Amino acid sequence: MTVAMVISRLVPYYIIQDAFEFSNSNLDIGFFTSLFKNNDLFLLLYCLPPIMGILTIFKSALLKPTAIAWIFSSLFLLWHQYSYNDATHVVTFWSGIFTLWLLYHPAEKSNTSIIARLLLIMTLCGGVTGKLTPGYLNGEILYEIYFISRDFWSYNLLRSLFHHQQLPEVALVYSRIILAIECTGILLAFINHRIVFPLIATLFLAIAVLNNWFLFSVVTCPIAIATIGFLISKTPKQIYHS
Amino acid sequence: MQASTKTSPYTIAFITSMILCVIFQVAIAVFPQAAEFAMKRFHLTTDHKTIWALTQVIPSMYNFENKVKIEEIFDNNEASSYEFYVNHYPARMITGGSGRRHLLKRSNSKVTLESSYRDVSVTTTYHLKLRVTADGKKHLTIGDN
Repeated sequence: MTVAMVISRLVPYYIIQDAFEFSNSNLDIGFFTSLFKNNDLFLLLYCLPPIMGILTIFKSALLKPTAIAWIFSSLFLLWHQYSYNDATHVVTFWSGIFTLWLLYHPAEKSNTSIIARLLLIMTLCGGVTGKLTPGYLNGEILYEIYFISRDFWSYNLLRSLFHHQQLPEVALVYSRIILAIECTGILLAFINHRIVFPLIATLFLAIAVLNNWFLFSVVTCPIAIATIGFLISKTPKQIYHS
Repeated sequence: MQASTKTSPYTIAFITSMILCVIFQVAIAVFPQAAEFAMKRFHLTTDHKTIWALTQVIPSMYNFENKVKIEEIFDNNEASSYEFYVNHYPARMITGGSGRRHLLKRSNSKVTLESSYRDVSVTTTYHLKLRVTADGKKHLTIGDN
């Protein structure tokens, strides 16, 4: 889990570049206080947990303080002007709580499956509910954001395979497939762990591979959660009867 | 000796917090007021920052139809503009990345954020003025309408 959180924090390296670039400017839109615009504090709290995470390789006693650092650092970043919008910090926040829970509750293995499933359901729900709107159902949003000119292998391939007049229809199908897969992921969370966790991990992997390499900052933690759920897991039926 | 597998209160709290997040996410699809609040969250215009802060931990990726329009206002009141869709948090076009980079080169800008979810839509306009102080630091602040 720690490895996944370190990767999540390192993938969007451009945010560090932005922090340095914007250090000589002040943006005041009447929302963020000076604490949550502080450049130095941002850099410190951004970098500290990954450093601690790497040190846990050499000193396992750091696992609990590192998990706590992840939780508080993620919360701070979710309230900071540079990073409030990044879903990476949402997943590292919950992953930090999950890690701390695992460290303090090693005897509650039967609850690990429930918690892992809930974390994954919550993550997928966050994507599904906001897409139940005409712009996503007819593919217009994805068409505008990705299909017209996004330079990424999957969209470059689709633009090479289809005429530009066909792309809105392709975007419609693509958008509905994404929605269907996310809904399926939520429903699958109620079935056997041998199927659900590998399937959901594959789903999250596909999201990053097919859309944006930077999405690995968001999907790495859910993949790790699914892996842990698979390894330390019972089916809901076994939990009920145990 | 068998280890105790009794569910601790922390486990119950952990599970409850996730269920509350899912309830909020589902509420967006069911109640227009929840959708409106969630879109205001994206625009940084919620009435209470504490509630904004608490809801920041709720996953919300690729939510709503978000459009950003950036206009540069010249001294003769003419304007040049362009607009585009973003996946979430349209206000990030002001606070960071390429959007902020662009605004830091314009002395007078108007940024209009529009988020829609079925029949609900939220529009927010930020009028921004850029000034450079004697120490060379750039300040982008809310200007007059």
